[in-house]
Amino acid sequence: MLLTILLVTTFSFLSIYILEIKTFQSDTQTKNYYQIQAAFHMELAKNIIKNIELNNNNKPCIEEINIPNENYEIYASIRYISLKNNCTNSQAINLDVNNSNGVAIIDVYTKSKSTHFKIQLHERFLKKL
Amino acid sequence: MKKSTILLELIFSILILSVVGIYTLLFVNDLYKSNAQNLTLLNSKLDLQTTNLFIEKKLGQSVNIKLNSAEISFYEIDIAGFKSGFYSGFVLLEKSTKEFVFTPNSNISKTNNSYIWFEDKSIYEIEKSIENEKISFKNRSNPKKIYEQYKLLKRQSKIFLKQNRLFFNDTVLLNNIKSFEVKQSNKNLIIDICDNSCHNWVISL
Repeated sequence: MLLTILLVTTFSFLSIYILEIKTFQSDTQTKNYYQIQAAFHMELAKNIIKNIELNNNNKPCIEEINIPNENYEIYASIRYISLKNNCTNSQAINLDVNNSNGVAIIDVYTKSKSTHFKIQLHERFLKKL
Repeated sequence: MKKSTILLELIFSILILSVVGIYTLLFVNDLYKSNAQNLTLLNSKLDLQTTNLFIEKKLGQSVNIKLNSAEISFYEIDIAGFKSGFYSGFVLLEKSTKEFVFTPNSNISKTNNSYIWFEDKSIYEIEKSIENEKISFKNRSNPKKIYEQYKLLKRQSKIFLKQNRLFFNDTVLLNNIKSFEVKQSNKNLIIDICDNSCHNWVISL
């Protein structure tokens, strides 16, 4: 009887220990996967935004971009240092237009929608207007 | 039943149970050892992966990366200052001279950086500024090439191997490293690192 109790206890502790290691391993792999995927989504969003014409006079000022995705929340907010004075997020300055039209300061955010694996990435870059 | 038969049965039962017990404990011990070894390997793998990610992140946020066979040196960009809006990264060329650059929408007095980097990859030393939209050069009389976009650099940093330890400046990243070799192939940085086993990291520059 005593031996049975001893064996059951030993196996229980060992099982918990093994399960902890397996969970740790699986948790790390999933986090790694989410992190890599978030970085890919961020790169994709940056490429999309870099190809958007932000200095189009005939269209309204772009100040926010949302890229719909099933697993990640991807959005960008845009501010301007330029001649643009019709945008809310704009600092209009005196520019010599022969030299430059100014820049857009773009903040891109990628957040995972998973409740267990929270990944949040933020990048800021400038785009010539 | 005779007392002797009962005693014999008891002795046999104890013997069988002892053999089962011993083999079970041996099995449990083996299982524990193999899992403890797995955990050690996993931790060591995680240490290496974390260091790989750390180096990749540092190099991704750096400019002017130079390689020696066992050393990487680079200038770290002040990403935190840029993201916090302490400097805009934009120079108003018509208001700038070889003594300073005028950078609208900035709080330069809140930054603490040593260098400025321009698009053409030139780096100049800068002074601590009290004016929020001006960055003053240290060597004011020298001619300079100024571009519209810039980045502020915190310092020059190094990753290197010394006495079997991998260092980032003065901080130890990994212990028990037997070799650390760096080479460049096209736009990739290839790091060969060995502890008890060898690993090959490829980092895109």
